[in-house]
Amino acid sequence: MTARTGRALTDLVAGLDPETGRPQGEVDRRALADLASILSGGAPEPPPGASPPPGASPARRRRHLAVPVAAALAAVLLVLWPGGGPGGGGGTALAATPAPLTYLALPAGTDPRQLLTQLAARTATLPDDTGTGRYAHLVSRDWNLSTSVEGRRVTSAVVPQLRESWIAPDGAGRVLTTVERPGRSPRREDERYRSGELSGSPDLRSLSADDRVLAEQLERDHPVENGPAERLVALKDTYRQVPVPPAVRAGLLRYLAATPTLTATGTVTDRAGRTGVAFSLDSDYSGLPTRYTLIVDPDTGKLLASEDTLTTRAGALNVAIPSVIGYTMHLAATYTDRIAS
Amino acid sequence: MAQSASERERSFVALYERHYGSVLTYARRRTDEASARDVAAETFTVAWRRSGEVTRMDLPWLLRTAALVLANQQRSGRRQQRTADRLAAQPRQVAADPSTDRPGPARVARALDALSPDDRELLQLVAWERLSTSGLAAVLGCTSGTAAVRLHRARRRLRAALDAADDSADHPAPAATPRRATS
Repeated sequence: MTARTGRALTDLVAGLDPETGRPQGEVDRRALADLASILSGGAPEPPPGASPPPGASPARRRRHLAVPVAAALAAVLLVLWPGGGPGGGGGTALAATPAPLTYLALPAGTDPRQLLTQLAARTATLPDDTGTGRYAHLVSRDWNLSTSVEGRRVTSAVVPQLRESWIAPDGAGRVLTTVERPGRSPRREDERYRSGELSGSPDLRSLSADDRVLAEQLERDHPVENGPAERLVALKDTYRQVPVPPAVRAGLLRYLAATPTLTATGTVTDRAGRTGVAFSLDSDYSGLPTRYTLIVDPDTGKLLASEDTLTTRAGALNVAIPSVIGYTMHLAATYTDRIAS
Repeated sequence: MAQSASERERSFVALYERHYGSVLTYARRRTDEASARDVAAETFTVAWRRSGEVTRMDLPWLLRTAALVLANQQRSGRRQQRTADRLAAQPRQVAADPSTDRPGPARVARALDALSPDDRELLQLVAWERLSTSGLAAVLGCTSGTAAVRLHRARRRLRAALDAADDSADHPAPAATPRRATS
């Protein structure tokens, strides 16, 4: 018998590698076309007779390609097809984007910090309205600029999506998505996940109402060095993942109040017909100059909606300036023990 | 904590750029070129749909998904036949190095063929995809400890299979055996 170490056995098996001597796969033209197809929702069909892997769905979801990636992809395609880049070739009409909301100006001299602090104080006195239960049940409606890359052209459309989820702390749950597609019937996806397959956000369920601790918790995943816009992203992400009790809501409002260069944009009726107070920050944090707006319910302190608007230029995207390029409405957020059938 | 939509998309493109080649190479080892391209595209389609929701999306996760996609794909008899045809057409090195006791590739191939598909896949993941124990665990969907134990046992069985083959001539393995297929 010959003694062979694990390393030696690995080397022996490595010697059978059929790819030995062949260059590693690379992101070539085919790969880029696949990437564009995936991001625009037109992914290749599975082989005949195949069943989807766990977590996959037979239907492909039309997803959203936000500005930075669209711009990055446009740059890549320009390199691959010089002389006729995305958006080139003329004749590509500007994409439809949602009409901007109408903001009614607040009284002159309104200090956003003071206003948010007052809202926080009121919110902190409210009874908990998030309920109890294993699952975070969230309903949201989103719009995002969706960009499909077809040969040399980037076309854009506003694609609304309704998302309802039930997610347990261990990452098990269900996600229902309805995608409204321009000129086509809505596509509905119903995906169930086993433990560990989703982000159960246990850390977000235990956010502190203490300002210092809350800031530490938020900044763990939203580093300060990313700039002030990251603070708004932290709020958006929190509301995207968990129901937020009033005490933490108040803390989040105080956290928002501490955002440098934040402005009080005005009162506004959001796209669900709810009245809120809007706060905005201008930043080129994501690649193109963008106004990030959060709309807060003055009665409950909840984040009602967020809106992203391109303000000065559109890069490779065929949208007018200014244009709303992304929008989220938070429609419901409670804890429950039951997943709807 | 979840990323914003733009961050998620940026991360996905970075993931694609970083790992597309590895996923494609993984698939090429196990099927023909056209199918390998489809496996890579399907793998990243799943990754895109689940980006922002999967807690840790990295190469082992992608390989695990690719293995599932490949298994689904290979239920199609036509593609499986193409795989077998490709593997059958591939020349094999058969000579052992007489200056050492290192067994020749054909003997190693025979020993691998004698193992269970699970053992074979596990050993190939380590040798071909250069996975660490933790990466292996992520691909297999088990803990690092379990992966280490399974690797240890697979190596023990490979040693035994190699020793059993030591006395036989180092002749070519049956070329039509699609031992690189995952199913």
